[in-house]
Amino acid sequence: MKKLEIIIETIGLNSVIRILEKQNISGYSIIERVLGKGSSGLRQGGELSNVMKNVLVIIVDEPDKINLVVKEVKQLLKDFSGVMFISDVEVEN
Amino acid sequence: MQELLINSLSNLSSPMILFFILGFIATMLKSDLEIPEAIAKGLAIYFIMAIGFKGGAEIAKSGLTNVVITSAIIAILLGSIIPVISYFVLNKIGKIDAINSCAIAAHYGSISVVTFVTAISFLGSIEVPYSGFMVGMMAIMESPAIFISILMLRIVKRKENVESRLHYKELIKGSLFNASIVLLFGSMLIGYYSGSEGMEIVSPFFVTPFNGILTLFLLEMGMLAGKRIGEFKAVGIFLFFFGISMPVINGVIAAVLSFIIGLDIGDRLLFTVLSASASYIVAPAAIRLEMPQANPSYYITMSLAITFPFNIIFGIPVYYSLCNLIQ
Repeated sequence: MKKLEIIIETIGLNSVIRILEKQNISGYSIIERVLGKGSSGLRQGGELSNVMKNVLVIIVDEPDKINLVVKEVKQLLKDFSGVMFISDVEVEN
Repeated sequence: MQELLINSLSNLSSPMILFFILGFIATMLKSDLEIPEAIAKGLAIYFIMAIGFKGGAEIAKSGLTNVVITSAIIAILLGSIIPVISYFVLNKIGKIDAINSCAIAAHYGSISVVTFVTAISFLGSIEVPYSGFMVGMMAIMESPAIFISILMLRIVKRKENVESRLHYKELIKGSLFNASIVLLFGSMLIGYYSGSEGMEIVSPFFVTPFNGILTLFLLEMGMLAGKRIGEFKAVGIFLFFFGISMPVINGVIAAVLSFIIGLDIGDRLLFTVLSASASYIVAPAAIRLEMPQANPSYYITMSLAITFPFNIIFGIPVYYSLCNLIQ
């Protein structure tokens, strides 16, 4: 199994969810208000519109499915600030 | 001139403005003062409910007249021409690129709820009445500028032969059915149907503590404005001056138009303030989605840290004197 972590600005979250639904990803977790620093500078919020805040989306699925999601999110990251991390994981329920 | 000075000085001693300045200074001093985000959002909801309900209850008392329809036409007209004027000033005079010009224009054509609420509080302090329907004008003026700016960008992009995408569904949802518009119209309807009796029931919550709660919200707004000071360098001198001069130009246009249609002084001030204010909640979210290449540091810093403080500290009394002058 692969774990994909997507940090993306809040405004791009709906587009990520659309990709996940399209690729039939059965489950994902979202952590809101993720602050930090990256290539687009400090992302610390400090306004009321959510534009300067990030979210973290965590997905664990089969490698093939994750690859398809990565391909589509890469296109999205041309417009929105963000980054993806991919790693191998073991899942215990 | 003397009246302008008196109004400006009395505004500077209002607790709302002083708490705004306190929030600003606290951030400058790197104090750990913080208002939890959930409280700030809750306060924003409170103001929209309070002014919506009060507006609806007052319309129930006065009824819907022709003035309301004329005002609505003027509101749409102002919301549509301000972004066009702003675009030309930014792009042709300031030589700002087309995308950032359209993005900033959308913010200056749209409105700021808190500036409007502060203007209502100002009118209360000088005991000048305003009409309930003006709250509806605020809602009407929120979205046209966003659509006009996106349209302007599409025209410019077509000329440059660049492909552009439009997120219709999210744009309509975000601009026409966003939380503030749904809550505002909903509160107005509830206020309209419950009338004076309903107003009596909720006034201990919506009327009596209104100014006190506004001080808390403006303290938070002062901190938000203070946090963006570091971005001033990126904004530059032209955009800084745009942030304080464009509101005055837009205000003059609104003051003249609202005078022509024969509104009273309180309503004219509110129209002027709506036209002079810049959006920092609805427009940034819509523009970030539709114009991702535009720099959010420009439009958020300008509307939140330049135009908003200018309007609430100096703008409102200046616009009031301006409205008094045009008659």
